[in-house]
Amino acid sequence: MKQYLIFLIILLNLSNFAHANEVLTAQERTAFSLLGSIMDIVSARIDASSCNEQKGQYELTLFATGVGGERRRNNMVTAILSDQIITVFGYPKSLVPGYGALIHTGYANIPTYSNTITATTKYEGSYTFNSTGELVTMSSNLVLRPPYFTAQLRYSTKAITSLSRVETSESDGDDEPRLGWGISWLLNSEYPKSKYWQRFKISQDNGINARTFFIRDLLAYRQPCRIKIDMDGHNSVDNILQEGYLTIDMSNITDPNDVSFD
Amino acid sequence: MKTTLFVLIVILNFSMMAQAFSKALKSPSMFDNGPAAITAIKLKADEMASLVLLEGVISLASLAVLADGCQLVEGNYSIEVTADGAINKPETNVAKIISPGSSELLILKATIEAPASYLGQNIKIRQAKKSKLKETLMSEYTSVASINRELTLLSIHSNANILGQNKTLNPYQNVLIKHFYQEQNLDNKNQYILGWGSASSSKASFPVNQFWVRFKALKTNGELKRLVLQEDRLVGASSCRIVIDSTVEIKKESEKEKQKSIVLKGMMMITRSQSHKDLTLLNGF
Repeated sequence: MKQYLIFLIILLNLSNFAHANEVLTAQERTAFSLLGSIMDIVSARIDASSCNEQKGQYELTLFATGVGGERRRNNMVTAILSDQIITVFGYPKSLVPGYGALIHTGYANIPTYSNTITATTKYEGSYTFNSTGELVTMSSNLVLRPPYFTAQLRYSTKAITSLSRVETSESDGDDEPRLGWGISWLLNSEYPKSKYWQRFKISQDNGINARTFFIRDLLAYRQPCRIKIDMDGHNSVDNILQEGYLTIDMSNITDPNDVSFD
Repeated sequence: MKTTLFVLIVILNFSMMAQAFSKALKSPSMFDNGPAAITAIKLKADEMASLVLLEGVISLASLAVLADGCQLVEGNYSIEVTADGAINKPETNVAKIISPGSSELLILKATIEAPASYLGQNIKIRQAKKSKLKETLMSEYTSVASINRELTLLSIHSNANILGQNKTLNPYQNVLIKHFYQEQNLDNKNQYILGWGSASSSKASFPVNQFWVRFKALKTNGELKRLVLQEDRLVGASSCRIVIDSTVEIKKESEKEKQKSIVLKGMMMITRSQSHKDLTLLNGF
């Protein structure tokens, strides 16, 4: 009996080694990358026009399994903006033991015929997570076509985000929320243009719907601007399926959120 | 024996379950009332070149910290920067690092590109030849620093090959974003430029370390006098601080016309023990 018990504990140990310190699950890493990509596109659109022009509340849907090599609809996010529907697909790569995880994201180029919008024509992002999932760096290139212009605006973005678990009294392990904070910056051509403070919070199903928040506050520019993603739905061991809203408004960084990031 | 094994495994189990619960940092309070107004910061070409060369030195040091650990690279390094800010003249924009107990020079040269109108300016830094930072053999260090037109945002991407324990050169990368703002001061004699940001060091393109970045510079009568760059490791093996404290050499009146370069001398200190909250050096001037 004791031998079986030891064997079981060893197995549990091994599984702990495999996922020892991963702050996010595979599907959560993909969700972070997909939502970050939407944030990047929106940040560039704000730079090309203004926060006031882009402000509003837009529908958002997310589905992610975090598994690569499947049909691409298994990792995708769609934002219905006022003038363009933006869908970004995620392409998770195999985990590299001891190094981390890489996820590519890409914008699906859906032709648009209106010339009254700031159309996104390209987005390619690379998200790299360290081996413990505590740190993620990303870079991307994107192209916008402003209204009435044939010339294109070329942007790139970079971000450094730190991720950690939140200690809560009612926490019983897997469903404890995870927090992220960091800096994202937008480069126009190759020169820095604006900078955002970003915060992220994700939780898993725990009898109630799981929620995901992603907030960016503009730090260096002409005016305050906040981009907020607030979604809820399913987030468990198999996949994330959530719906919510992307809100753009002119809040300051200290203005209240619906969620605590402490 | 079996019982000991059992106890050991149970302890191991619990230790593996222990996770790091780190507290999220907050953005500096200067942003509480919205983004700071863009006040263009004015630095002369030679001052800007010397600042970017020091940024190159600190990013090179943070790569060495990742490759060999904070303990191995700990120490005080002598730094000397000579820069005239001339476009496309790397031979006159140079940083030299001398490791503790060594006379070997690690030399970085900066190629300053012509400013792109309305956008900003790029400065490219390249290591002159393969050299050691204490015991860490570094080669082909290169970086591209991009500065916006107002000199309020600086973004740097660096690459280096570092000799590992496997006796081969391994690729390392560093990325940094820094925000500068000039303290508004009615007394124009002394003016401070403050800065903060974040940096991440990667091995084979996967991130490993994250640094919290701080900066302070003193300008007296419109001329740069002292520069302090500080990086504190937040994510990584242990706490680690890299600080560069440098002072501008005062030119003699007779040499002012002849000598167009700025010369900065100082030290780079790499230590393991300090918390990122300790701001004694930055608050001390």
